Amino acid sequence: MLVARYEKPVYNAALRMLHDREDARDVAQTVFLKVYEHLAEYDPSHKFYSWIYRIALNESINSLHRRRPRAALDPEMADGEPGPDDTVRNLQLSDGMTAAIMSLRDEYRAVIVLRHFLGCSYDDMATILEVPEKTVKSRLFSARQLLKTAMESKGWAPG
Amino acid sequence: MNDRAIELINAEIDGALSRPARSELNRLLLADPAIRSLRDELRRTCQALDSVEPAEIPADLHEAIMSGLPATPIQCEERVASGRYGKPVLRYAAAFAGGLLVSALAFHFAGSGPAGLDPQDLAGTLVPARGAVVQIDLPVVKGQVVVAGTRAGPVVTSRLAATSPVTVIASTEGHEVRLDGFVAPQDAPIELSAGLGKSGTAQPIVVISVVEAATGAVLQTASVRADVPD
Repeated sequence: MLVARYEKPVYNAALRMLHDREDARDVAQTVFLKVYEHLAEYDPSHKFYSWIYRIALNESINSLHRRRPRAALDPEMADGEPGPDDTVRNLQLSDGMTAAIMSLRDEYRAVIVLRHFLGCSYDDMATILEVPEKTVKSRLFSARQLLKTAMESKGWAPG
Repeated sequence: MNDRAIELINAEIDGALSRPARSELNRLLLADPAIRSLRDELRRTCQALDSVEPAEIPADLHEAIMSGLPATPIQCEERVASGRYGKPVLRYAAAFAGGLLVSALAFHFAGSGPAGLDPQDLAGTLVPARGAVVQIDLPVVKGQVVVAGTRAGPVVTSRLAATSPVTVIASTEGHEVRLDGFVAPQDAPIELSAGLGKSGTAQPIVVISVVEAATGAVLQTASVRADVPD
C-alpha cells in the first residue's frame, strides 16, 4: 500500500532532480528499499511523507554526485509523453523550464521540487531538508529568481 | 531590490500572506514599478512551474519496486517506555509479513511485557496477561490494540473508537484478520478479539494497519512481536 501511495511522488521528485528516467527509476527502487530497511529509525513525531521525501531527495543527490562527470543537460529531452492537448508552446515551455530547473544547484532545485512538484509547505521543507524555515524561504526565493533569470537567458519570457 | 518586497511577493505566491502583510505589499507595489514588474515575472515563472505536468511513472515501476524488496520479514527493534504510563516510545518496530508491504506508521507502541503498560490495566478488555500494546491516537480513530502471544498463535484484541469508517488489519505470516469499515463513537468504543492462527516461529511479528475505508489510505501501521509465554 505504501508503494502504491508514494511511488508517483517519489519517482517524480527523483525525475525532477535528475532529469533522467532510468536514474529516477533506480532512485525510486532504492528509496523504497531504504524505507523497508530503516523503518525502525523513522521518527513518527514527523510526517511520514517528510521522511520518505527526504530519502528520495538524498538518494537523488547521491545519484547526481555519482554521475556528475556526465551530467550534461540534454535540452531536447522532454520529461513526459505529451498529451493530446499539449501545444507546441507548452512543450517548449516545459522543456525550457526543465532545463532551467536542471541549471540550478542541488539545494535550489530541491526546494523547487518540494514546493512546486510535491506541494510541500515551508514547514515540511524545513523538516525534509533539516534546515530552519528561514533558510528554506531564502533558498526558495533565490531559486525562483534564478529560474526566472535562467528562463530569460534562454529567450523564454513567461507570460 | 527591497528584500522585504521579495519576501512578501514570495509569500503571496505561496498563499502565505497575512492581511497586514498584504497591505504592506500593496503599498510597496503602488510605490515602486520595479517591484510590480518583479512580482509579475515571479508569478508567471511559478505559474509556468506549476503547469509542468507530473511525469507518468513507468508501467513496470511498481513491479520493479516490489521485486526489489526482501520477501522475508525483518526483525523488529523495540524500545519500551521507561515509565508505567510514560510518553509513548517514538521508535517503532519494523517488520513486514506475508507480503504485506511497508506502510506509514505512527502508532504509539507503549510497551511489551512486564516493563511496559500492563494489559491488565485496560479496564473492560479481555487481554491476555502479556502483550504488546499499540496505542492509536489518530483524528478519526483512537484506542489501542493488544497483541499477545499464545501457544495457539497471536491473539489480537482491539478496543477502538472511530468517527469515520476504518479497517483494521492484523497480519502475520500466512494469517490475517480484518475488522472492515467499522465505526464506533468515542464514548462507546468497540472491543473485539481474534486469534491469528499458529505461526511457525516462537516470536511471530504481527503487523497492525489502520486503513481509511473510503480511500484505502494507510493511516498508520505498527509492527510488534508476539512473544509466546514460556
